Amino acid sequence: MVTAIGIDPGTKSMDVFGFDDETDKVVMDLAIPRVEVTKNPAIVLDAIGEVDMEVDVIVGPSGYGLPMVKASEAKDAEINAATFITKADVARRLNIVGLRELMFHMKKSHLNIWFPPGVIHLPTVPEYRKINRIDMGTADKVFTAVSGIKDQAEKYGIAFAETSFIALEIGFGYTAALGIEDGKIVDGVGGTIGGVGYMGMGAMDGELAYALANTTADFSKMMLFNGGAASISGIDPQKAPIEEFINLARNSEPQVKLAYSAMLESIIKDTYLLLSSVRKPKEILLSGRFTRIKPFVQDVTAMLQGHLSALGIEAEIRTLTRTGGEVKEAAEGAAVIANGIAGGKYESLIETMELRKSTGGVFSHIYLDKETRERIEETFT
Amino acid sequence: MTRAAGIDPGTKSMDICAIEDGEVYYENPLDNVELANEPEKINDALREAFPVDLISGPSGYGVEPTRIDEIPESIFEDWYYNYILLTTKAEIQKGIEEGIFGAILYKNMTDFSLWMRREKFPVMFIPGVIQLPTVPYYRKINKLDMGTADKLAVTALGVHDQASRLGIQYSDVSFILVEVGFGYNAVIGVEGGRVVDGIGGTNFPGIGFLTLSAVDGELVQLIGNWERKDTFEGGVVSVTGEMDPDAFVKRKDEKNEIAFDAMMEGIEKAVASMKVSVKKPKEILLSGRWTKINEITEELEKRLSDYADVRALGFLEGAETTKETAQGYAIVADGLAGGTFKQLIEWMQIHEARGTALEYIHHPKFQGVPERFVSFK
Repeated sequence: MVTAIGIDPGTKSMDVFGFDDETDKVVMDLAIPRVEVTKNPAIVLDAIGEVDMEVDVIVGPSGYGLPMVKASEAKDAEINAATFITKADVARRLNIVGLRELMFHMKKSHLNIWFPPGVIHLPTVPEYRKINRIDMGTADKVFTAVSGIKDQAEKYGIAFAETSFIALEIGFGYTAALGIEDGKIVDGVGGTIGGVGYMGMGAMDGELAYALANTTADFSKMMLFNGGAASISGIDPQKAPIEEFINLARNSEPQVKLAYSAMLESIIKDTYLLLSSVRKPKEILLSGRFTRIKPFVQDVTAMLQGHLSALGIEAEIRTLTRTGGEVKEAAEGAAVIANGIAGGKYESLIETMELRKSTGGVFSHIYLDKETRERIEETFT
Repeated sequence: MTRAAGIDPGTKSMDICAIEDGEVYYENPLDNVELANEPEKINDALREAFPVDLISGPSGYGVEPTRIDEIPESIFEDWYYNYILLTTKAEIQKGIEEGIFGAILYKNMTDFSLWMRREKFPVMFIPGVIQLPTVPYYRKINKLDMGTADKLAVTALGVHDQASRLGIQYSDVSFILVEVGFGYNAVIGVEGGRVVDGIGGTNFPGIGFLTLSAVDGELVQLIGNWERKDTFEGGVVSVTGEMDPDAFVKRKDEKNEIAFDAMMEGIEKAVASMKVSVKKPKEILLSGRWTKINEITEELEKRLSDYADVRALGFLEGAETTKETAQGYAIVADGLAGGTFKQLIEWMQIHEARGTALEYIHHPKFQGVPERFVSFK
């Protein structure tokens, strides 16, 4: 029997999920508010310490990811790159600072903790798709893909290597999309390279990048959490629940409806971006905080069905199956990776995905001048 | 009889194309390297096309149809930098001091337009995709470039081309235009003979020959001091170090192979996502410098034929040497002047385009940026 725990660092909560693979019993199902983790990162390990059984492997959060490595063996520079941030943002104590500190706690911990890769570290994604990308899907998006592969294989009774789908993670911060073929991630549209998300604006028009960078003294990471549907509709995402946003949009409040239309069409366009990588997906799998809201799922499903059937693609559209009560799907995916690392029943899943062969760094695929690349490495590692 | 001229400021050449009653009577593609050294050549070339009723001036990111004399000469230079080129005179001067070729081109375009203003030529600056009323607002959000003025102009040529070739009404025209230029790529969606969506060069989902295209927001944050020249880099040339198009398409080494696949798949991704806005295009029309290279055309036909029939955009009658974009510029000028293409321009609602490219940004940090520019009108 293998007991495994996975940790998913969402924008609103850090989710911890554990199970044993003999009985599939859930041993941990906990969502810790992100603000609490940022205040005191050690509370995550404290919570795991309260589990009344021996835990074989824990897969920790790893931000943008790093080649899969045991936490105790991770280099400081790798952790810094996986949580890269400016000095000014460190002073602002953004959530990612808490994540970085948690990773350093994990490095020192006696527990068997592993840091997982992001999409950009995977050998199954061709180099030409990585050009000038940082975020093709953070490590937690890899968790979602793992959950999807497990879910589809179990639903259809097929091998992990026979799974094929496009995963759409519609979260509080961003929307991301992943292409999975033959049980491997082959392409990814991360939160900052896709369309309009709830908080984030997605990919940036190069001209807008120029305008913003030259009119703002300090280009904070918070800039990336702005310009999305919440900004467009004038809703404060920290005060109003997302249900209110959806209700207002469906009740035709003009500015909110505009934002909702942009967000929905972006989801469809992100899906279409991946059709050149996964031409005949068996399914479109929806996950993330927004997909817990029924009317939203109905709207996305209706739009996707209409568009995909026009293309002759008969993929089933459904939400990812969840086992946990409190946590999101990604945390379950993290726990599945932990199980695979420990040699449990999902070992072949992580071998199929080639997670152990992950390589390179977050900044390894920037094709700009040498001076710029060196400055980035020096500043952020 | 209407005589109209278009001036297309491409990355590689500035082309003049002039038409009379819908047929080309004057063409002159001028190499930008030569123009950088002898900018007065464009002035001489333009006079060769005279007399004309209207000229579509080099319009960069596009503005609502604006006659050159609507802008006072005292602010014209700043106005041109701000609204046509989305930059400032100071920024361009800095670029020139650093020897950036693009900055020299921008200055030449501005000087040339200022010269036309002083000469009182009948010039109109024309819109890009983002100013069109036929594109829903929600598709414009946080965009500056959904297809510059030259991309809209070449799309007008596309509508004319499909309607006349298939013998159909403008209202039955539908296609996805793929423009593969020297610097940037763009994809424009047309349904019912009208532009409904566009992916401009700096929003494109894969690299162009020069540009890195849409930017990963994380990369902007990493680099911090993002300059205008950075939008001209990070593409095929940065990946391969190769400036020779033939060597690039022959894919003689691994880096060429990677860059080729990245550029081609980027175009396919753009077309695929455009199918969201144009569900059943009759055709995919290819245009631009790179689509004259066999290896590129064959690859695009292979990749895109699943989406719709793929064919090259036709030329205007009599055109031989100028780019399709220059022909499009001439069509727009002719239509706005009430010539042969009046109905086309009115159907596409180009004459009803409004505003500038700066009006659709919903990022709070953008507040105050447009206020630093001179008054639009």
